Amino acid sequence: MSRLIQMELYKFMKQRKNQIILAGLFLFFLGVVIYYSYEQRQYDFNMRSEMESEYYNASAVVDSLSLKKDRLEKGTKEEVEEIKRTSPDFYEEYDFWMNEKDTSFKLFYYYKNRKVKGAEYCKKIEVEKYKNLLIGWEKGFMSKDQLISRGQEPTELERQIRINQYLLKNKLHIVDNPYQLTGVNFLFLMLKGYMPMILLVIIILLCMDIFLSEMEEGSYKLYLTQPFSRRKAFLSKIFVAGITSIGSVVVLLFAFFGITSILNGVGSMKYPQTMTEGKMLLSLTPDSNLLGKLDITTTGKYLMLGYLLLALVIITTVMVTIYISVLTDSTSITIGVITALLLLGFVLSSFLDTTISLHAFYPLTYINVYSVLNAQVNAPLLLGLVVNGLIVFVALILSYQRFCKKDLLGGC
Amino acid sequence: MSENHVVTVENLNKFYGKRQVLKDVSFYIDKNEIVGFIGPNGAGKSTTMKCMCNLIFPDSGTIRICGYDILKERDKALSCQAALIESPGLYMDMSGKENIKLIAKMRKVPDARVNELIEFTGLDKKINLKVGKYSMGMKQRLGLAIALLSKPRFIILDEPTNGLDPTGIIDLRNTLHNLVKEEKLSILFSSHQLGEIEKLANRIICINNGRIIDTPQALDGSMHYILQLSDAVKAKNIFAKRIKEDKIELIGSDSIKVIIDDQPVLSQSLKEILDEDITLLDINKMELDIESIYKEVYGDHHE
Repeated sequence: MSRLIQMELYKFMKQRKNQIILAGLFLFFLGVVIYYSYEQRQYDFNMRSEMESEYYNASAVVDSLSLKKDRLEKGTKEEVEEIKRTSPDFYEEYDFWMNEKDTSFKLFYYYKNRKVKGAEYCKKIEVEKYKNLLIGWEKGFMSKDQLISRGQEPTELERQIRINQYLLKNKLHIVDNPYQLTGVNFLFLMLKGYMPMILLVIIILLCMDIFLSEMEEGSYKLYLTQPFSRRKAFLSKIFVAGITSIGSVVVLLFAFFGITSILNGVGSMKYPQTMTEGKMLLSLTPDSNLLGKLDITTTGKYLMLGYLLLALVIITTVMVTIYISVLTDSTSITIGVITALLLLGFVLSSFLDTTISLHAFYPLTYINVYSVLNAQVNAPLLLGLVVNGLIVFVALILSYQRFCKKDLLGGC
Repeated sequence: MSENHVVTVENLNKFYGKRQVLKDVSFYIDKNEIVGFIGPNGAGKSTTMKCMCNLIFPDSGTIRICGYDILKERDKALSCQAALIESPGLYMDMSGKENIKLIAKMRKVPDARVNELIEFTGLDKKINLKVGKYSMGMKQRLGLAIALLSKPRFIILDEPTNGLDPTGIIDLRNTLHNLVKEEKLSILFSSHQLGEIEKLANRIICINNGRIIDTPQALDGSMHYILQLSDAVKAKNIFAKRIKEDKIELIGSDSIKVIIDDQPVLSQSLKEILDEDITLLDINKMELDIESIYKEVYGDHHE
């Protein structure tokens, strides 16, 4: 068996396609580091621009509301009645926009000259601003779409408030640049946004033809007429698929963790992160708030659970890819089916209401590790582990049965 | 199973859905025997050979290689067998040498044997080139070298001359002849080159519509003669005393065609014909080539 594994590894490494993809994987990690280094340097400038923009936006609304306010205080009875009828919460709305204008300006000023005020001040203002935004969203002064377009959707605002309050309450050292590329933060950032999805696609490409390449070039006629059982051939291929997919990611994560640690320091594994208290739910509830309550946890625990989930989703997708490839013996069909599954995942996460239960049962939902752990989608972590684990088990059994019992007719 | 049999195939049946592609296929191959396997496309040659390599699972029947049942003792059966099914299944991203070494490592073949077979390929420095750059002839030789690595007792060659130029075909023929002599091999091979089968095979197995059919008489040592006589009808009756009627055919008004298994039958019949004052105008022994046998067996079914 060990000889077969060695042989599979040798074949895997000899394939030019795999060499190119491994190089691509390395470049992806390098690209991530370069991208976040750039974001780190640009952070103050970007935040200043954002706050300036939000300030001017709020100022314009305040100016408009001031005219209305004048009419309300000094206008005719009809005008007052009209305003009261169309804007029953007028004063609250006015206060909301005044607060938004004020906090945006303070933050703009902070990012313009950090030396004047400390990071604690920034976090206090942020809490005030985000709380105000949540009120504005609840009262309908600002739509959810507006908030999302600003990267401030309600769940993310709640998360920020929770963390800032915890930092302030416990007087912890504040990392005031989220892109600060310490070793620990690099690991954290790799779980955010589209990074896990890109990683997944690269790994699928890497492992997709572990069964297909031999069928396509015909070398299965050499390999599978050697005196060892198909069971051993299957197990050695699965083993190699596992260690090359997860192994290459782990090696690169460690390598770049090391590089970023040397460049910017290791960072703290105890730095606070948020995780939903509903993460250990196995069943769903129509009330998405149960998932939405956030607990404070350490970055270490967050990374442990996050990477556990990511690894399982990667293994699931690799196993499903292997099953389709063993079933069809066709690269084009395998690519087609997997692309369709990935696109479906993208469509569901982008366009379907995040509270809908369907998310929880679609295994690729869980590739959005950050969203899952922070309850930004109705998909509890534990259910994700179970759903993906079951799919891995079923795909493994079906692939084994198919591979060991199928007639190899050739001519794919 | 006879002790002399290296391979025994018995009552092999295979269905693809409802279509039966192998129907009670049975045959044997003896030690040091080169057996040609012929049949039209879709007759079941490749399916039979793939069943013998355990690439396809038969629905019923048994295949014994060196006495081992391929389904029950796969490892042992495949240990004494090697196969080149259709084109040699090589790893294109590896060099010829890497291909040989890969299989050698898997089968624990000593380095001396590996070097011997690298030399056997005759590829010299090209052995270090990637297989993707090889010609079909080079791939065939490399495939054969890999097949011979573990000194098999039996080799399956499915259409080994496919894609080879005339020189390559002659090389392969000579190589196979030498292998049977030097390595004491038995070979089962199929080919579209009927002339090659004629030159190589000691024996031929014919398959059609998934069923093994009787080997043509011409390959059983029988002789075909055409005789031109002054009285062909009377001569036919004389032959009919000694051989079956279906082996005598009247051709036109003055000739007969006879198939004779024993030379004395011909001598005795000719003596009687001459005694009866029938004039023998001409006699021709027909040299039946495999192509005409093929036509006789399969009619106009083209390969």
